[in-house]
Amino acid sequence: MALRPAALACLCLSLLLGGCTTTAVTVEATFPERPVVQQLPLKVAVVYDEAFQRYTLSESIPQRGNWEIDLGAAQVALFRAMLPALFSAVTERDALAPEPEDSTAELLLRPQLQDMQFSIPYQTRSNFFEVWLKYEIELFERDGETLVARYPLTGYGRTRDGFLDSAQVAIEQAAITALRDAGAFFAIEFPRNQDALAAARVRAQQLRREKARAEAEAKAQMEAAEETATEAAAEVDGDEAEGTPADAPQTSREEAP
Amino acid sequence: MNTRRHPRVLSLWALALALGGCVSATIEEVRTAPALLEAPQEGSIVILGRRHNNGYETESNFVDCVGKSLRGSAVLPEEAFIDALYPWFEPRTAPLGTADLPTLLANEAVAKRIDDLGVRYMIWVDGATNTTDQAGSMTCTISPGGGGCFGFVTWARDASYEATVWDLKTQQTLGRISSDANGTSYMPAMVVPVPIIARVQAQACSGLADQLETFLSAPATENAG
Repeated sequence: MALRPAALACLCLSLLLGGCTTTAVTVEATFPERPVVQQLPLKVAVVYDEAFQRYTLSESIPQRGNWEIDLGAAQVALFRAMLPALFSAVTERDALAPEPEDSTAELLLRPQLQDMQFSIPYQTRSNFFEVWLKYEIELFERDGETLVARYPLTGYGRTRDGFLDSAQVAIEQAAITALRDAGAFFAIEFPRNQDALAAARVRAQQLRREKARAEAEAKAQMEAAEETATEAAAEVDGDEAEGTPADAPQTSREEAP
Repeated sequence: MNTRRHPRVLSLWALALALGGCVSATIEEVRTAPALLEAPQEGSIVILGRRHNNGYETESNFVDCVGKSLRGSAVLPEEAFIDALYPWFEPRTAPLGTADLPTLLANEAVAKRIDDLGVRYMIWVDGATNTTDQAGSMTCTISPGGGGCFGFVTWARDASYEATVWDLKTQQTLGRISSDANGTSYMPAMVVPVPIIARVQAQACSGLADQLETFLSAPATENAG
């Protein structure tokens, strides 16, 4: 009986502490390595930047503590499994930069996770854990500067609230389903948009040429102006040496008595 | 809790398990082809559940149950099939019914992968188990001195599934088997809740699996295709 107040105190403490816990979920997944998709005759370099490789969602849910979902490794694994089936050659890069001369890549592809959201049954009053992913795939020309296209990509996954499964397992499964969903969407839809991609590349190349031409013209004009100014300065120097300024301002002459 | 109560509690649970809730089940079969054109080989059958995000989806544990209940090793696990056919059987991309399968099989790469897997018969399971009625209430209390529940809860569940057997080679529907089971579960509680569960989904699963077993073991016709 003497332990009862202590037990009660422990119970109260555990209830209070319950809201301060952190649920950490590391999504670990393997994805099918031979997706049944049409391979495109296109060589790409994929940019997995630091933020993408180490993406972790941190969120606090009132009365359900903090949640940390580490998705970085799993999303890299998804693209590593899927892209070699879609493209004839794939190389990896850590950052967006111009491709080296000896690279055969025709396009640079940079996946970026723009948004990730999740919900637990407590929030939605349903039996499901749900995960939403919103990606944007950016396609650049070899120079790493000319943006050809932005390709939006979404993924959704859910798992039923299992009686014996932990919340971590349920969220991890929902995240894997969402990743698979995003991968499926990309693998099926991207090859169907090759005409639009080709048109976008032509447009991007035209814009790049126009920009280069405008830059060259501006540079030529600047050089010409500089040359004229230099010649004029030289003439002024010559005239000053002779003592008769040929290009003296008219006003100066008028103002002269 | 009084230790002398343990045998009583155990016996109550045992009684509840023995009684179970009452379940009534109905199995119906419609055969659209006289028999299978070719006897199922190992791994030549795959059982797939309806997978779709926006509406209901057939529970994966039900599909597993039917697969395991079918005796023999002819059934290729659903997960292995879905992985091998990725990305065509994900919730977003999976066909919603057998009517969509011819379009999918028109894709040469998909047809070739299915052929490589050696899958000849696809069993498409569509349906779900739902709670149709619920009544009663129960209150549970816990305190340092002990705890207990008081009340009475009852709920009715209905499991309704239809399996369509499809020949991937001839692209023909061979038949349909439907399995319906419904029952009411009870949970009275006097300190300890005693669940008397009507296992409607398990009943629907075993009924469907038994009928599928009969359907698939029908002798193959001589004009094997």
